[in-house]
Amino acid sequence: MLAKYTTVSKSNPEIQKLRRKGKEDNVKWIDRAINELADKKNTDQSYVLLLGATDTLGWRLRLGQSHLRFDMLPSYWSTSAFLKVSPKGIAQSSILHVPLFQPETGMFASERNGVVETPLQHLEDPDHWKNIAVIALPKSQKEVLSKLDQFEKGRAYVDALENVLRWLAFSWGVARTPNPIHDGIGLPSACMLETLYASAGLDLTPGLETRASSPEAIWATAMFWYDYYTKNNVQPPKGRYWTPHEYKIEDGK
Amino acid sequence: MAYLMARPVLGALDEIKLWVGMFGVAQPPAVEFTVDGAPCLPATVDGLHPIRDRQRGKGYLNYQGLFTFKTRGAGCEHHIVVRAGGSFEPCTLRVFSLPAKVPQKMEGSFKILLSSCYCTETDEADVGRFIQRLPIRPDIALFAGDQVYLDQLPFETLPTTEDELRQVISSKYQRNWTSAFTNVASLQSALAKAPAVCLPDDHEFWNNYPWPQFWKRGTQTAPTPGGGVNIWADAALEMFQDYQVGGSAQKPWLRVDIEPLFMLFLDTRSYRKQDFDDPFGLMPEEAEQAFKHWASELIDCQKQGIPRIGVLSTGQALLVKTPFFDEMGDAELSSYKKQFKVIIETLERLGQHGIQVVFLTGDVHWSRVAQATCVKRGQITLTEVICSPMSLLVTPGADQVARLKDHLGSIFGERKRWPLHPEVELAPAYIGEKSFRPVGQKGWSGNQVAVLEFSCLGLGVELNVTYHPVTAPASPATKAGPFTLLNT
Repeated sequence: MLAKYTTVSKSNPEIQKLRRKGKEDNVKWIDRAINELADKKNTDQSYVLLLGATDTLGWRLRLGQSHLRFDMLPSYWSTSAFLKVSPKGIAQSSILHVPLFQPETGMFASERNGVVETPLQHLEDPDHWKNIAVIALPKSQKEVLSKLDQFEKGRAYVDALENVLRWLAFSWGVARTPNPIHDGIGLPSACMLETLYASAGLDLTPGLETRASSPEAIWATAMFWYDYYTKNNVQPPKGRYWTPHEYKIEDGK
Repeated sequence: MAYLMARPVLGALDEIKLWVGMFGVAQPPAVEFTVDGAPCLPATVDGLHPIRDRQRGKGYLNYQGLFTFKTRGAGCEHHIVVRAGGSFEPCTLRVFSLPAKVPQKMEGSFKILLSSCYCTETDEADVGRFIQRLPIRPDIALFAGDQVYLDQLPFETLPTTEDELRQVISSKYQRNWTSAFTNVASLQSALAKAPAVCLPDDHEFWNNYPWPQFWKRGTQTAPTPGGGVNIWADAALEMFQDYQVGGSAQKPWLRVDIEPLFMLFLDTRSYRKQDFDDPFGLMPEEAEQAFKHWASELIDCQKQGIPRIGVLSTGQALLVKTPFFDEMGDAELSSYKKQFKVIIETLERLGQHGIQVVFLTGDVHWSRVAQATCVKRGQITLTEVICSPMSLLVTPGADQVARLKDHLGSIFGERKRWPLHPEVELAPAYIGEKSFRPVGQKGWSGNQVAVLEFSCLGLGVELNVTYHPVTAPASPATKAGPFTLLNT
């Protein structure tokens, strides 16, 4: 499955680069991006974060998604999350995601379908999370979050924990586990995002099965499938990104 | 003995429609209804009509009618009691009104029960009870053809006088429709499972209707004053209308929309002609117009950015080969070249607009889910779901050979679970003038009923199909999907 197939010739003009300033951390960068994306006329929007880590796990996850790209290069992204914006400001905000490493304490993972709320500060380090993007989508935070409880209790619909195990096994090279992408098994946080938005009436990755979603698919849709939204009278995604980290593969460039 | 029978039939979104049959009474008493304990008058008054199982002028003993009621709201349960004087046992039903729209994925699904091809003589599992006991409540039930086999058993000879012929056909219907009263295995409980729509296929008349079958007396062409193929055909059509459709105003199509599904059920059998090149060889002009109108509305919605998914059903499949022996054997939709071209071109136009269509049918005696790419669009836009049969018809000779082959095969391996059922066929390389190219398919042999579950997912729909093998005791179900149906 190649996610970038589209008839549009240009990438989404509403998704623009936003350079990191000096030693600016990710929380401050997100704050700046949100300020640029905020729409005073239309406050019904919410934000998805895409992040690309530079460690070995990040490499495995980014490589796994390379099959979704025409150039077969590793994805910029190793994970994604819902940005739960706090009224007190971005610094006090948190993210909702389904991490591959589930917390040892607290509610057992099966009771919340793997969903974890983590302070945004967790993503602060720009040396670890070098690649970053904020995508603004035309659904209010309240509407999206109203579906969270159903997702947490609805393992019958999407079992995010199955995706956790498959991606961990692939990342660690356990028992010759093949790339989960080939079996239509997406990254768990992306599947959570896909389900929440789809239930709220918005496709993050049109045409892709909910359980097969991934940060790369979300990125490709936002960048190249934006006319799908226009055709259906929905405001296309907007975004800001900064992707300084690539693997040094330069053939064909 | 006098019987009163009622079953829900598919109607408009805001109504509950009941088919009421009264059997064994010369003067039918008035029918009375209570809904949720309170007396209730039908919203429309069409009354009872004689079931035309006798010649005009002779006394009728069986009656049918359609009665509609306003619902209390979408997706509500209605407890209905039907009474017809003291000589009839009251008939009790629990009927759910249709949902206003297809639920979001995590909130449930809109369910269609799909079944076809029911032969009483081979029903060992009691299909009616099997369907009634399925631990799932479909929102609608689609009986996609061959709910009766008028030409079974194979060596049975039907009477040649019109009066007797009509009574034999009516008694075959009564066996299937009122089985609970006669305590035989048949369809009555299945018909009450959910508001139903019944489409006819050939065995509502005879094999490969309207083409004569030389080995079956009575199927030969002998035009009647009304323009029918012969007296059997006239009687079979009227009995289909009386038992399966009901009421007095009948049309060869039914349209029901449950957002975002535009559903069209087309009768492509009752008005077939003995001319493969006739422009209306499969269905009359009014049915074709309804089909074109359905397609135009889907395109209009798509242009306005309101994506809608098409659901189309007929008594025969699309993604199958055109048979060589179409007059003698079994003509398919594609045998009727001119009107099939209209169907395919219309579906292709929908495909070119990126509109998804789900095609539902039965007929072939195997089950399959297949998807096809619209070649001009380069994307999958057609999903065909076939479910057949509920119980397999008797085929003398072929059945005995299949049993023998299975017996001999068992010496070296395992016996087949369904030795008499044909193997699932592969879809041909292309459909139409290279309009659609089948790309993926999964099939099953054996007696089955299917449940299709549609859930809204973003601006599209997710479809899951579950096939339940008809066995007693029940066997594990098999699944196909999820299929993401998204207009692009």
